[in-house]
Amino acid sequence: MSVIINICGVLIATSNFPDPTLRSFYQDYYHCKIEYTKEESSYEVQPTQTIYDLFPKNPTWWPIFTSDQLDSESYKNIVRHGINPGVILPNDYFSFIEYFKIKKAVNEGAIPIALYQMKTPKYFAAKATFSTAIGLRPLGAMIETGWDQNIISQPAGNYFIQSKNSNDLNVPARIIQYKQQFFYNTTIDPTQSSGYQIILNPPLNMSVNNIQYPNLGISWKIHNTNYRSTTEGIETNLLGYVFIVLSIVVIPLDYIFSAHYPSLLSTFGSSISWISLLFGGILLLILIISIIRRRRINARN
Amino acid sequence: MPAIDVLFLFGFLGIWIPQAFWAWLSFQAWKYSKNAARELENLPIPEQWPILSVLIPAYNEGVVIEDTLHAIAQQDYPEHTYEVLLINDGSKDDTLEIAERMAAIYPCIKIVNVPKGMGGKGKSRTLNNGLPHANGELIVVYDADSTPEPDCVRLLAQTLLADKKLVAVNGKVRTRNWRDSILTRFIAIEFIFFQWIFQGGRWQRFELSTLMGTNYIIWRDALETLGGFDEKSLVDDTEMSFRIFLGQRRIKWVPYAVGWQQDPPSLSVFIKQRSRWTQGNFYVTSKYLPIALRKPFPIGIEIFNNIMCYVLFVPALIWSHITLSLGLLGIAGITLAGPFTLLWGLSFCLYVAQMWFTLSLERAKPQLYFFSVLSYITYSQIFLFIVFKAAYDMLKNKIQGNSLQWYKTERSKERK
Repeated sequence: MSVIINICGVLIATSNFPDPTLRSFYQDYYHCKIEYTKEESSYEVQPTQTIYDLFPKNPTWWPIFTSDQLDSESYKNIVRHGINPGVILPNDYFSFIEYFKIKKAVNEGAIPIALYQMKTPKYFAAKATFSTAIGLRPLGAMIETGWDQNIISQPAGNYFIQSKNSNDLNVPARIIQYKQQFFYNTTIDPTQSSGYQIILNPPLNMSVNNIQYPNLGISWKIHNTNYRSTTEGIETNLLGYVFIVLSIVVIPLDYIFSAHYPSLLSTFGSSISWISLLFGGILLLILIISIIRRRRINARN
Repeated sequence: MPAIDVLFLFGFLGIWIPQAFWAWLSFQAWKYSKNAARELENLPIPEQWPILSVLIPAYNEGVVIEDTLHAIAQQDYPEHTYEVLLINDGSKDDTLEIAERMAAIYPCIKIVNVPKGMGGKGKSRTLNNGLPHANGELIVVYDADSTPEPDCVRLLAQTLLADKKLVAVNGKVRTRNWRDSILTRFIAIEFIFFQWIFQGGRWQRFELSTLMGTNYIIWRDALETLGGFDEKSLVDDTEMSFRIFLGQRRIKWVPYAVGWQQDPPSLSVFIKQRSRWTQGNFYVTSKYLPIALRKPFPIGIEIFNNIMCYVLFVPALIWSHITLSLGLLGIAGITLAGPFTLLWGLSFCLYVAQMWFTLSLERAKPQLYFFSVLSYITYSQIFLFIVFKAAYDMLKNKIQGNSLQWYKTERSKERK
């Protein structure tokens, strides 16, 4: 099912009629009212992707890569040109290889972006805290499920919004500011010709002369403790730093904070025991290798 | 959540947090072992060797003093700038006769007798009595049971002279009589472990190590600035280390200057000696805690280590034992979900692996590897008793208004 909407006389088929906030963005940035149209209209219905070309402005963009694309020629080309692209942190867990690959990219200037799921904002907070602890402090949030009017109630910062399917109406291709939040139209389609867009995994042949960085920075909140991640560093209180350290040994942090005493202690005890087992095992392995090496050296001498 | 779970969790964290810290120090120790080997190869030889005085406090040391004087008099430090002062603290055995005989053989040996009425007040008082008789710019301290290797004093001096920020250098102390009893084998292992991890590891990471009371060298002017040895403290070495840290200066531990010493072969002597050390550690921790809070580095690191050991680790170990006993007796069991039995096994393996790791840095005899496995259920558990005894004795002295009691470690004949 889709609905037909009228944007400045152009008919677009979308999956839903946009909410008031999204309509207000079109009003503010494209100076166009979005109106509901009956399906019987005789005019030709356009796909949603064509909207952005109807409102001309010099095309600018910024690249974001998924972690599996960090070895691609396109990524290397972007870095070679001195551009700091975004890199999306894996959503569920890091394998060691993946972590070191992303860490290397971040050390070379890539900007970590964490995935934001509207249904589980606490998970994002835990993930961002943990990522900060392991040196991958996010400076933006990526929303893969398209525009949702609940985004405006989320913490300050920049949000890269990618439509879930081609019929969804995304935010205008502009830098959209709403109070302390910034929203960006994010797409995998590199054929943009107008406005500002975030291009996910751009191909090698894209021009790098019109790169424009977004307003980097994101905030989140854990257990009434506020974090503000900026290009300068992390801003939080003493408890915030304690949580950052704690996030390394307590899994999953978001689950801990949604639990109540006494299950809070049980969860803490249980998760820290698994972490200890992992660290202890690695440590034991290192010690055994060192002992064998030393004994061999001693025997040689 | 049942009380036993909370108890268990405290025990678990109290053991694992120090364990993780010490494991990290093991890694630092490994790095330091490589650095120290390079340092030894490149130690600069001074153009002029300063006058060096070795101080040996002695009270009833007839059993060990002859070997000690032989070893110290035969050091390869240039002899025209070298003297050995045997400070006889009113010995009632044949210490003085042996020392006089040795002085006749080795001209570098001088005997200083502590005047009557001023002796028997502990090692620090004896050293303070001997210090005015020393001519050296450099002061080396050895216990009366120490037999350093022939190049030990020279290497200590070379290290100290090579680095201006150093006030003192401590050499490695090994157990000479490790074959005497099972206890001395355990002590030998513990000394190797302790020194590599806490002295070597901390030096590597924080440029921090403490004096160990014997086999160390210190600038005389620094010693005098510090006001000599603290006569109130039962651990003059630790106390002096803290005062050096306050002056933002450094003490270095080096593994290549090796001194051998006798350690107590009997349990009763061992418990008395360690109880004294523990009381001394309590004393310096309480004395310097307010300063450590104001100046976290470097004194805070040292105090933090003591607190972690005595306030976190030891009580956690006791809680852990209680939880285990309650579980084994079927009185109460923990309900926490987690691989805790596996972790207990891992903890044991890590303990043994860390011991073996430091033994491998030393080319230790194979049987010491075997004894380090046994030490987990034997020697290590004695420390719980020692900490309690020290705390009890200290509390008793406090209530009764007694000052800290000096106890001199008794010597014994060694198996040759």
